[in-house]
Amino acid sequence: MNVQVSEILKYLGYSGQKLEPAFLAEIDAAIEKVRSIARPKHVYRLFELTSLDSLLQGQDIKHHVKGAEKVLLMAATLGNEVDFFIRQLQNSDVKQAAIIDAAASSTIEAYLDGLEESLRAEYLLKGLFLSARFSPGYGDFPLSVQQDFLTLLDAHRRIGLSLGKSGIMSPLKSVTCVMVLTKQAASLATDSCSICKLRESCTLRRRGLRCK
Amino acid sequence: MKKTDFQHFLNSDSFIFLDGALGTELQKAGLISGENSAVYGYKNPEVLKKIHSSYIEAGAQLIFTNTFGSSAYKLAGTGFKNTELIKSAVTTAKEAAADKAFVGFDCGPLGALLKPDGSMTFDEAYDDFAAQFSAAQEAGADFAIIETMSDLHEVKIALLAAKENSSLPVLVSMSFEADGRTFTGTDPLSFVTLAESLGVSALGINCSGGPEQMLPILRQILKVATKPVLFKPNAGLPDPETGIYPLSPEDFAALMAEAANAGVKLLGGCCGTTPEHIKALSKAVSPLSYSKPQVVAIPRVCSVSRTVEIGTVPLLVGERLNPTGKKILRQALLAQNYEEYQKIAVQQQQAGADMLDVNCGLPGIDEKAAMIEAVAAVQSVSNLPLQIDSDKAEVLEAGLRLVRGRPVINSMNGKESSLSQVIPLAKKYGAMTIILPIDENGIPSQAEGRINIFEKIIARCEKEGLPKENLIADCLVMTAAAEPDAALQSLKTIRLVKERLGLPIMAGLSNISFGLPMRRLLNQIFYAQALAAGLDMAIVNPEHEEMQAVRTAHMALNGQDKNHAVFIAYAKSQEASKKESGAIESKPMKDAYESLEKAILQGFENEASRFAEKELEKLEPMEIIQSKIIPALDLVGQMYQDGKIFLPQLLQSAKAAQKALIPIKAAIEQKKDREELNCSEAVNRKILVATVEGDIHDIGKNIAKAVLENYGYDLVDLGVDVKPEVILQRVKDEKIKLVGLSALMTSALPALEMTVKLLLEEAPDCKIMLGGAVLTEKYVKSIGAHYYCPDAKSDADIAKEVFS
Repeated sequence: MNVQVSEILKYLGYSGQKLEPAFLAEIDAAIEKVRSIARPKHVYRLFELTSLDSLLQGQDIKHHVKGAEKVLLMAATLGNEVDFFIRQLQNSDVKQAAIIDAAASSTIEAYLDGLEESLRAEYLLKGLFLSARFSPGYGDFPLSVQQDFLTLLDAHRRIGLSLGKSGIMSPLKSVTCVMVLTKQAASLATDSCSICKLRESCTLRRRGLRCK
Repeated sequence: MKKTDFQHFLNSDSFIFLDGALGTELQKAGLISGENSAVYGYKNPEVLKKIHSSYIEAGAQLIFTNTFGSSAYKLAGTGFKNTELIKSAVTTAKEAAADKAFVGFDCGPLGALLKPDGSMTFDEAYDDFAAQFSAAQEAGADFAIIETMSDLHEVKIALLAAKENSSLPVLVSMSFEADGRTFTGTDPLSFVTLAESLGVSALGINCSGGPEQMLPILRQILKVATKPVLFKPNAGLPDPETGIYPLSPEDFAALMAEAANAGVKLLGGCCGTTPEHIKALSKAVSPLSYSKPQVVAIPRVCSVSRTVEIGTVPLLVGERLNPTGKKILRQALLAQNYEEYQKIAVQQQQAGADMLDVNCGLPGIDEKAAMIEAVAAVQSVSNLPLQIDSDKAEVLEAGLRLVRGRPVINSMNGKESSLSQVIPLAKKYGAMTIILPIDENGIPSQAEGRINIFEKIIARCEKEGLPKENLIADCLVMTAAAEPDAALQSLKTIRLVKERLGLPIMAGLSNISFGLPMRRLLNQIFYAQALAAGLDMAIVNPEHEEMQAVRTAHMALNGQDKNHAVFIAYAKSQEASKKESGAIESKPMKDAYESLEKAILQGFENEASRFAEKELEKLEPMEIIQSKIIPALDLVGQMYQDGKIFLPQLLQSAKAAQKALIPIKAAIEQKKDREELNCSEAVNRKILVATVEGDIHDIGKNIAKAVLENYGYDLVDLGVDVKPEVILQRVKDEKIKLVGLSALMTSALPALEMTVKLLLEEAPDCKIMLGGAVLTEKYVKSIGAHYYCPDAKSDADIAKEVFS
């Protein structure tokens, strides 16, 4: 897993301040700590586009899956050990808790990056192109599909991932995403800010940065 | 096969065959993925009956009903009631079984994670299970199987619900990952410890991987389980794209024969297995003969992910979660602030405690309610097994119910009132119980008298069906200053219990030195003497590191530490920590040495605390806060808002300020005690913070809290997922002037709006500030809240305005 320090810094609100070597060492230690306690798991399945009519709600996801040969649904989680560890830290060291939290968020993304890359390479051999990831909550793809999404993947039984009240996934460091397989190569870039619901309040955008 | 008594059948000396998958068979018949299988079976009973029958023909002697998906939680939105589905499923299975097989009500996981990992409460889970078990009993199931569980806490709730709502014999089975733990972190040993303590008829593994992946974990279970073991694995690992399971019936059967030889008694299949798999399985296993593995029962207690053996090596039980003599916990209990319990739990675990004792006994509070909150709080941050400590049966029961693993009861004595109340609790909750040598005549001063009482208690317990193996003897340590031979009598009691009764022995040590100088030295020596006499568990302050040292040294000398590995590791860790602390002290931090303000600015914790102590020689505590700490924090906050520093640096300064505040707050407390300040002088500077109902993200809230605490405000933290009414109640009760609410999820916004509305209507004098990633200034104003907090510093500015 290739966890980017720059990603973690972004989560922590970094915008060019001086970085002490001791602090960078703390970040490295946090990455290592998360690596040692996380138990990353994922499950994915291929679906016919037509079978997902009720799941893929909203213009943005419809645009994303246009021309799909097959649609790949995936769910991944770091497991609840990370949540537990962060809870423990909240009581003894808020700073460390924030750093570990950021490192964990970066780790789940890095885990998905790795999965995405290896699947892309695998499908390329079969002459298929795999798109970038698109998750419920992006653009107008509503979070309300999350329950059906997880049910389709049998995610509670397969990777211990379930939905709590108001659509929070537990464990917390978890992601669901849609990728599509196409016969034609498509651009992997998505202008994520333009469809993002958080663009009004986004602190990254205010600082001229973006999360992807 | 002719149906006889189920328990009798289970205890026969031959293998028992279970059925295979229902879900994947139903899919072949037309169930589509995502559809609830229990609903499908309800609508298609003939299809279901055919599948049951084909398993019975294949050799299954126990079949499981098609109710894996029939929790109320999973059925929400389908329009079906679980009781109705369960009755139909049991009836269909019974029709197929006739006299040829036993029918087990199949109880799957509810489908959501429990608090604190998820948002389902104990009561929600319990009610869901309870309805299912009573429906199954009513419909005439022969037994129940709780299966594919990954959370041991959920297993415990299901077992309690089964016991309290049915008389069905219960089998229980969990799903493990290849790394040897379930998704939520339960290990095989903790699973066996809890399940056996709650009286299951058989236990084992199902689902997750194929037989090959699960065999190593199965062997761990076989090594410790005294009950029959069941094994119902998948037909290998499914292809991720197609979901197809690879193992053929023959390959599956060959691997299952291996499991049978290892000592498994009940064999069947889970996902991807078919009647052909069961047929091949019974053909391959029938010629073998079943022999139960020999297992020595060892007393154990556990949490969901950690088991402690009692009597194997000396254990340290953390004593600090007890308000007796601890002002900070007394205040915390009165203020219903259970975070203090969490902090102390984490500290004790980090210091090396093996278990934690939890006590909430304080006059004038609702001890039962406090125990419920304290146990939940402690378990959310510590995975040590717990000891529930109270002299009231109702408090004990509340705690025992909520403990996620197998607890210890502290304690029961020889008085009739205690025996008659605690024995039933110990039996029902499968707890280990500490017994005290006290009866109606008091505490015998001599060891022999204490042994007599122990013998009396043991006899009574065994008569009532509570085995001696579940008891721990507390040898009662009296104060040496008051009774010269107190230590000797305690040591003698330990030896006599070892020799005559064979019970594990515990003692609370620190009583011995009460009223004498150099208490820690006396405690330490007495601990060594008690260990030599045979003490197993000591209730101590684990942060007194000499206790850890004595234990480690004792084990090294007592032949309990092979090659002295533990002792050598301990010695190394001691050297390392010495070096580390030396390094920090000697590091020349020029700026930081100049002043308290600089130390906070730079985030040097040790310096900050040292400067604070120095300042206390010159200034009044409140003056230091006003003239030194707050200006420093203001400056740090300004630098943060200007982008000169970023979050971790802000938090590092907050940490340094926190350290500086420790001696200052102590000085304030002392002053209060000295001058007996009355309440009118103490200004209400309370701020309530909470994450709203439905959201469980709390990093932002906790950062705000850390900053605000440093400014000297009293924070009332209600935690996460807090109902609007609860927030309102506390605001009213404590006359709170400022409330900070946090929400990170868009889906939690309705709850946020409701909370704000309720507070505006019912507590109009209270100001509300909101923070969280999805909020904007515009939104905050639109719902009527008073302040928007874009960052941690702004909270402090708002508080200043409100309290000015």
